[in-house]
Amino acid sequence: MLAADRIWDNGDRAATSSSSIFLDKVEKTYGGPAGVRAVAPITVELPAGEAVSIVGPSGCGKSTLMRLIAGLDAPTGGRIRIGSRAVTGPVPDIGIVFQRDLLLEWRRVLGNVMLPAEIKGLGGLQERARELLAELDIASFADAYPWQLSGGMRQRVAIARALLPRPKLLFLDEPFSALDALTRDQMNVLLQRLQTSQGVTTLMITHSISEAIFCADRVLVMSGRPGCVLDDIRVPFERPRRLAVRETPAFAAIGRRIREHFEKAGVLVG
Amino acid sequence: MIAGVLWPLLSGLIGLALWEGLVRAFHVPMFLLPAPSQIVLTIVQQGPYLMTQLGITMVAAGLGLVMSVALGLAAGAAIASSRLVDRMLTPWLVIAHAIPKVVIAPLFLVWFGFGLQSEMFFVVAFTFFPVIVNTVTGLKSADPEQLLMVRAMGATPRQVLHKIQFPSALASICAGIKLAVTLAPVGAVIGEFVASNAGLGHLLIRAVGDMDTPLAFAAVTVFSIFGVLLWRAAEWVERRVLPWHPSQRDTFLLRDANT
Amino acid sequence: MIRSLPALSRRLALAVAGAALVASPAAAQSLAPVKVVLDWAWLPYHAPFLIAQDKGYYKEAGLDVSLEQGRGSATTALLLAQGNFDVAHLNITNAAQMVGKGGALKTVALYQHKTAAAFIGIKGKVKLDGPQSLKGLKIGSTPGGSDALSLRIFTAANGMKMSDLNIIALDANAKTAALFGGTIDVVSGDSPAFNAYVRATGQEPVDLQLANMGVPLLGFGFAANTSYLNKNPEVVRKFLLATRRGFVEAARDFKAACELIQAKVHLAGTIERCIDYNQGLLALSTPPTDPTWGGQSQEEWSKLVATLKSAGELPGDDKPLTTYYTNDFVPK
Repeated sequence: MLAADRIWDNGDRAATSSSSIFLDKVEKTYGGPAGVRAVAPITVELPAGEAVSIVGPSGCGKSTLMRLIAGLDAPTGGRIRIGSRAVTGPVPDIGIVFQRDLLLEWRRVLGNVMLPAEIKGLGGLQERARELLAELDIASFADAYPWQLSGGMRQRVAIARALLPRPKLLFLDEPFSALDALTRDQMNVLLQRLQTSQGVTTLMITHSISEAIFCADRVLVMSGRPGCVLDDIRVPFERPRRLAVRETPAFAAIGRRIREHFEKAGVLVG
Repeated sequence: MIAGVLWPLLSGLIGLALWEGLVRAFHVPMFLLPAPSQIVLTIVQQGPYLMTQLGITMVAAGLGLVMSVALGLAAGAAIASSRLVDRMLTPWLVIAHAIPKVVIAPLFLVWFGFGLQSEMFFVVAFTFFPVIVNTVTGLKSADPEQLLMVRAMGATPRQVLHKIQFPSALASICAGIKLAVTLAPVGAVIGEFVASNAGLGHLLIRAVGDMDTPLAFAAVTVFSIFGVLLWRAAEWVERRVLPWHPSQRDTFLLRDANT
Repeated sequence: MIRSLPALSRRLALAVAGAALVASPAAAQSLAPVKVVLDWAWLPYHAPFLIAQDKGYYKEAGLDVSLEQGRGSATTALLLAQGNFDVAHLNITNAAQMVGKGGALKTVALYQHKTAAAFIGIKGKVKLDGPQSLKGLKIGSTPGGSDALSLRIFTAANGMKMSDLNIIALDANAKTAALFGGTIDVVSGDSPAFNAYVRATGQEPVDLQLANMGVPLLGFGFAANTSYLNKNPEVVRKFLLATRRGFVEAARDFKAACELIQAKVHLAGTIERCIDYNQGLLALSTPPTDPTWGGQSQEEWSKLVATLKSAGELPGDDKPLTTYYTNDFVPK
């Protein structure tokens, strides 16, 4: 029996909770069999409770992979399972943060955070909404309109919205790419604080090598199109992490290892 | 602020003075072109009569507008959500919009008779198109990523329409309704030319036919003033409905200093 | 009489009498309803109808008459034929055209035997002495209106072609302004109206009456929807009788009539102009006091139908004259 099949069949025994992610030879090709292959067959297991980063060059299929796992798109090959359920459609228990905050301009901040509760028909989450805003340091803006907030603040609202229904999984697709460097650093700290306090399995896609390492327990390095996993690196630093950890030699070593993959692949020339 | 009102007012007064002067200087007969003073006098003398007729016209315009907006929103939503409905319904709407309604006037009279129902029909005929077109455009302009996002949250098509599409379409819909608000009284008056024996349109037809030009001008003046007031009212409502929209904001952003 | 009855019967009699009094408005409620449509919006010559209502002539005849303003005799004829109304006051030429098209209406009275169609100009600005004097003048006419028909018949009857005349197409409402503004020399329209309008501006009109120039078109009268007529012959008779009373009263004192109509329906213009208009129309009509008022002759109808036919206005098969008119309801 192939290792992958064993993992697949032993799903629930191998993982401890229903939010482990299993990918078995997952691939995606657009435009028919002779079309563009976005994701080469990927087989990987992401246990529950972990924070995983996927870092890779533009167009390597990172976002596609995230959509496949979330059930927003269907793979053209392979199978995906979350916990004991196969993914055949949009997975209900995932909070997603996109690169654009996608806040509803006509609702105030609190109304935006409450959106998933309204749609899923969940009651009594107003208290939690305010708590999340407090954790994200924007409690005083609960009655403001999105246009009154800066980019960083808006993205914080998006994160609060994603976390409101207590999802098992939190997906972030380049959530901080549109922000300036200082705000970005601030958001990295906030995010990993939240990961710990909310206890949520996190999958984050990013372009930034240092962000990928800082925010995760495990980094998947993806190649250019068609995307496949070049490396799977464990990040040993303790939580809660401080920005200063980025200047440690161990951090730099991981960064170098990732950078060398990209140089070899011709993505970086340095 | 004062300057914004002063100069247009001055310009208006100069125009009126010129008009008055020319009419007097050339002894233009009243039935050809009345002087502004004559028009004002007529408005004062026939005030109650003008007001009751204006009221009749406006009631028809208002009722027709409500019908038009209700139908327009429903039709717009149907067209935006179904290709089939779009392909089958839109050609009829375009044709209905293009036909000069005044031309089939006698048929209207036979079908609907003289009165409010005919006027309302004209109002709807004049106003439904901007409402529908703007509703469809607005609904179709919803942010596709927002639609994806709520679908990922598990939203039903009805929730998508209600929570995302309609609010994002609101600015466009408001624009369509503002257009309809200005066209509704015109539709009512034209409906009265053809198929009503009350209201400003009827008054105009009689005044023009009887060579009572001062009364005709007085009616038009009253109508125009009311039209401007209606527009202002529509803008006021829009401000209440779209407080968050860029079109309603002042030029400086209000932001907390501790961003 | 009541005093002579025993006490109980007396009370009973009073109770019955009281009930009868209370019931009489209800009894009065059984006035026969008649939906009447006019040829146009309120004009001076509609005064007789308002007089008949105001002075209770209709009520005395047991009728509950509702008057609706019209939008041109052609439309009025159509509405009548469709049954939207019961009786109409309209130009009988239009009524005849509608009958010719198969409309379910019939002319029940005719009081204006000479068409009001005319060419009207302003004295001193034009000279109108015969059909040939029209050549070279700018004539304002409404395309598709009744004066377009009169023009065609006029030119045919006087050995002229339409192309001999310089006809300027104008909207009906614009004709008056165009005449006074000088954009046209002569207007093709109804003489009572235009003569009154010209005189109201202090000028003198000159006109050429088409009725005197071989145009046998007819003027105002009454028509009824045929199925209504068949079901309510007495009502129509009573209506015409009561309406004639209104005509008589109006002609007796045009000034009072004009004051009434002005007050009731915001009629524009001066009392003098209103009187002038009415007098002009009266000159082309049978006087209301004349015993033959409303009666129609076979001769005038044959001429009308023949003229309309040769002008191409009566498509289809020839209908007997009895389809067009009847004198059975004319007040005696």
